Order: sequence, then structure tokens, then C-alpha cells
Amino acid sequence: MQSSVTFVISAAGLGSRLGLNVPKCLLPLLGKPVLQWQLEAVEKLDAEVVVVAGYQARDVIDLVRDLRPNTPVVINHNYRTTGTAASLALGLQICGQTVVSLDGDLLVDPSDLRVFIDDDDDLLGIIADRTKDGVGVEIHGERAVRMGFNVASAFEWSGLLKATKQLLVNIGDGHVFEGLSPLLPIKTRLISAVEIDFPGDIARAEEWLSERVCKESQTWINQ
Amino acid sequence: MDQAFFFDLDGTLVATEILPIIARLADLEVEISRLTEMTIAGEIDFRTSFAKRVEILGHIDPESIHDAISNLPLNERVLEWARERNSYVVTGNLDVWVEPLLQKLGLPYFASRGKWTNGCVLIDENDILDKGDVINQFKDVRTVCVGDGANDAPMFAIADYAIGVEIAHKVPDVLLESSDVIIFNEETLCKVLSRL
Repeated sequence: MQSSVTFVISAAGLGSRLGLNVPKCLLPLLGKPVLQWQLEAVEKLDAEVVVVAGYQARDVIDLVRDLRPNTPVVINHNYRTTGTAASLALGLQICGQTVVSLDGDLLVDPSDLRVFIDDDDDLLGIIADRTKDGVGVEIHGERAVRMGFNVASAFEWSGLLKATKQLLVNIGDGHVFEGLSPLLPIKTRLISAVEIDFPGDIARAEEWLSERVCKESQTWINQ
Repeated sequence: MDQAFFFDLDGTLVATEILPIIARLADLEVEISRLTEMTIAGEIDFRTSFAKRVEILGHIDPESIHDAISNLPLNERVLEWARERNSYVVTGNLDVWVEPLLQKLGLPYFASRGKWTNGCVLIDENDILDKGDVINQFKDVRTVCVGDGANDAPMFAIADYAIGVEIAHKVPDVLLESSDVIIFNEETLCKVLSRL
């Protein structure tokens, strides 16, 4: 039996590459903020959620309270000078034993999130695609053995990770993949996910979403 | 390392604000409400606001205040959690007004101090509670504080971990700036406290 699972959604960043004055987690896709899609994706799963906010924290807090009031919102005050690992580390302080780290700008198909929490092993979510600025993941067997911006591979780190709290204790305050590198190899799983980094990603993300969302109710199909 | 937990009174252990209830006894709700708005807006600091509050309400018989606030709704789950740990109540409220309520809660407490003499409350500048001073007294212990108001900011700034509570209302910006986490209900508060 799985010990208690907590999703940590790192939603503190500015999203400077998007060039909008709104944190990425509040960006509307098909009319709904990214964070709302994420909270709805985990709704039917047996897991707790912690959101880590920073940039425009007040707006993120207000959204979380309206949507899911039993969610603590951790505040990363150093969001301008730290990476996602810093947000994850702060979230870890109030998590249960097993943690699923989800980047605040990443949409994951709910069925993949369920697979993640049902698998007993530590897991790295990977996508079979390479994007600009993406982190390559070198795979042997099913396991990730190397990660980095310059790693030649058909696969890329998605920003979804499942591990025990203990494993992540020294994750650092830069990129999560930098903190993970000493901990490899870690088992990988291919997931269906889309990330929003640049303005050009918005249309692609909306298309990805519209294939997975019921048109009438505007909710996830695979919940 | 041992931990010590510090809880604000209004909005944290007690479900409602105490001051408006006291003001109502002397039909001074409007004046006190105005004073509260000015304090929240940052136009006056807590110490000035507190002195003004005592000036306005200081003639009310403390007995009638004790009666009026003796049965306020409490956040029972939080109180129960607090009683089982090394916990303290830290309130800017005046002991002359809230001591019986604090006794009922049964936790050691820090409060502003005053004297009821000749039909009014007297306070000394030095007896207005600075919540930061309270935390500073606790060395070699991990300090965790819980609160929802601007006057909690000094203890939030110093404590090892600070929990902003948005059960009754949103926390002011000055408190958010020093908060490590924001929670919206009692159940989540108790869960977070237990994980620290």
C-alpha cells in the first residue's frame, strides 16, 4: 500500500520567457487558468496537494482558496533568484512520505498522474519530444542515467517526478534536474504532457488540451 | 530540536474578532471600526492604535466585557491540537478584558497589560505587547507561529516557521510578506502543524 502522496505544484515563477505580466500558473488556456486545470486533474486521485506560490502570490492564493480550500499555499519569497528546486524544497517541509513534484507550467493527462501514484517506484516523467531549452534524458533500459541541457536523446524531462521525501532532501535551489543528477538512475515513464514556456506554446497547449477535454463541460475526459 | 507553537487569539483560536464585541457594549462600534480600518490601511501602527482603543473603550466595566466574550465560538480543532503540544497564546488584546477567556483556553499566554483603576483602564507604553519580543525569549527551540493580523508581523518575521491563517479573512500584505504558508481552514492548519 502506498504511503500518503502529496502533489507539490511549483507555481512561484515569473514565466519571464512568456513575456506576460502574469504568473504562468494563472495563464488562461481555453478560458481556465493552468493551475485550475492541474487542480482538476488531481481531484479524483487519493492524494494531497500543496501549491508553492511566489510571483503575484496573492492572486494564486485567492484562486486556490476558491477551488480547493484544503490546500496549503507555501510561499517562496525568493522566487526571483531561485529555481523550481527551491519551491519543491519548501513544499517538502509539509508533505507526506511520497511526493509528486509538478512544475506549475506543465499540463499532464490525468490518467498519467494516476499511473504515477499507483507505481511503487520513484519515477521520472519523460516526453518523446525535444523542445528548445528542454532537458535531455539519456535512458538505459527503462532508467534515466543522465540528464542535462546538452544530453543527446530523443527523450526530454517533463517536469513531473515522483519520489520519497527522503530522496529529495538535498534537492538544492536551482533546477530540479540538477538536484536529481546525483540520485540517478531513476525509473522513467513516458507521459502525455505539454509545457508552456514561450508565447508560441500557448496555441499548442490549447490544442493538446482540447483533445483531452469534454467540449460541453470543459473538464478532463480521462479523470 | 524542541518546538514551541505560538497562536494568535482573534481569528486563530477564537473564530471571531473580539474588539467589535467590546465596542458594541458601549455603542462605539463605528469609532472602533474606523480605528481598525486606519490600522489595517497602515495609517497608524499597532501601538498607537492600541492606545487609542484603550482611550475609547477604557471606561467600560471589565465584568461586562468578560460576560460578553465568555462564550465566543472557538476553533475547537486547533485549540485541541494546541493543548496537546508546547503551545502559547500571544495576543495584543488587553489582559484586563480577555484574561478570563484566556484562562478558559487553558494555555500559557502573553497579552498586553493594563490596570482597571477608578473606573477606567490605565496602560503603560511598555505593557503593549510586541509579539516579536515574545519569540525572542525562546532560544534553542524551533518557533512556529500562527496568526492572521498585521500585529502578528513582528513574530512572523522572527519565528522559524510562520503560518498565515485565512479562516475569518485574508491576511494583510505585511503578514503575507513574512508567511511561510497560508491555510484556509482548521483541518488543514492541524495537518500542517503536525507535519512540522
